[in-house]
Amino acid sequence: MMTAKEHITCLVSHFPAIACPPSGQAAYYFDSAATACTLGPVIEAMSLFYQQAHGGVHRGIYREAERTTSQYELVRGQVAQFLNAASSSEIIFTSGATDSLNTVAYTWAMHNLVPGDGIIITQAEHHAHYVLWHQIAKKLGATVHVLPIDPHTWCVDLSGLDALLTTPIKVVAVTASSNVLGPIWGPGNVLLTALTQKARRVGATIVLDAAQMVAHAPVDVQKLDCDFLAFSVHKMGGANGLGVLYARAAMHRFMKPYRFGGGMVAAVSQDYVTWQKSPHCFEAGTPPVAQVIGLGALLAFYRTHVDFEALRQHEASLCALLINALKAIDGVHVLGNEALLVRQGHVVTWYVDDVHAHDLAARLSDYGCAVRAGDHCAQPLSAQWQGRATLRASFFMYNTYEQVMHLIDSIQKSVTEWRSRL
Amino acid sequence: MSGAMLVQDELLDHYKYPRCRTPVDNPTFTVELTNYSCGDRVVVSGRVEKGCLAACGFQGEGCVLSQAAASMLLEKVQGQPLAALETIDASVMQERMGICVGPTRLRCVLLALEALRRGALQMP
Repeated sequence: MMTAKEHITCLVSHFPAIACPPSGQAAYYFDSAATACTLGPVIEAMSLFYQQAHGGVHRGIYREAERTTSQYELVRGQVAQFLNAASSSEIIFTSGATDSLNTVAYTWAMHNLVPGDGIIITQAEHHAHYVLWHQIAKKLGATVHVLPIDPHTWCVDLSGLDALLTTPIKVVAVTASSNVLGPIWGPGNVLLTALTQKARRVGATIVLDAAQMVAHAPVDVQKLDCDFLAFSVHKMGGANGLGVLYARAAMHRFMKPYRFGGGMVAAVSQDYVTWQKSPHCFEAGTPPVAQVIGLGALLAFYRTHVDFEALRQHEASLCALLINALKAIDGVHVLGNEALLVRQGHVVTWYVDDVHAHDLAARLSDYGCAVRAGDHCAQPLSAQWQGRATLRASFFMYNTYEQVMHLIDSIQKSVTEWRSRL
Repeated sequence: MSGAMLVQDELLDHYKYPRCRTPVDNPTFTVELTNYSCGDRVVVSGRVEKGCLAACGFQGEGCVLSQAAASMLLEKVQGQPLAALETIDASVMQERMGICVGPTRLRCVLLALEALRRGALQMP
């Protein structure tokens, strides 16, 4: 039985950008919550796809087109298996998590919400989710209710939920894990379970933004009891430009296509048009086939190489390492629930009283460290710390203790350097 | 962009001891701009007289680049004809500051310039 550290050591060599970084690139990459380094087998699968003759999926009847279609649909089945979806028809390929969430809004919400309906989100939503539901509410005359983040526990505050659920709540659309704070639903996501169970009792549709979850924990859409679940593939080590929307089969009859083009229609005449069945009616135009083929290689890798329990332990231990070091520096404030972060976290966010996040991040870049600085596309959440910019280090399966020690050393040096000059 | 460049003496001097950080009497414009992605904020005021920027000043807070850029810019344009403002662009700002930054940090560098242009030149 390998330890978590041994397990991760085995994985690092599969990421070319980390294992053998080209000269000049950051060798210490801590921005995987934004976009992860690409897995070697993904690159190889996509390269092979492009080197071979291939055809359009669900169109040509020649050999290459048929092969491409088979590969494409095979991956859809892999995704269904990865998420424990009941059927591959519940898997819709999109261009990313943002596109997946917009697809929920425009294929389902626009046809099923009426003025006065309520939409529950959290204060920790990424702009992609936060802004989307506000815009949909504005179009439809619906109301958005924002569950706040408790400033003491850094978890979602459900104290107002029961009262909210006495109003006509139609949608609960929340992030499964914050891209700024990490875990926000308590130990074992107990608060998320409480929310979805209560939402179910009033018949609300449940939408999960799993962009920060799928690469770090096993996802079971049936256990999560969600109607829709969205994520991006590039945050998992896959290709850019590809996302997934899980749409529970029972929801399909309430959804209508909103993008029109080849591949999604069945019959077209001057007077009428009929659609393909789901998921094809939601995938207009030529889809990102190479990226999907790459996803197939990615999921095969996850199945054979990634132990999510070991990964959780490893990422959480890196969080603990960094948090402890940060807390030893005067004027540093770590955001998020530390007890949860050191058990199930993969991001650490902080700010320094007297050194601006951009200035510190730029200096860290000199030391080869790639960390994120800014509001992380979560301005409603950053209002809790007066909107000031923060730094975020996010960890993935290729980050090691040695890398984090280098980051810690670089942070200590950078803060000292700035303070000696300011 | 190198963090090491941030600690150049002249930039730091403008950050620590900003010029033109004084209120403007009878301003003809005041423009506040925020770079929401990082919280940088500047409020640029000025008084235009006979086609010249007779006086200007700023308030604000943020990273070294955003605040030093405001200080260096306003020091340079104070008393200049408005036509001179039109010649200042991203490359002029970076040359003046002795830096070369990427597109994200360029927003910090250009925040005060954008505020000044909106106010003095009434550009959108």
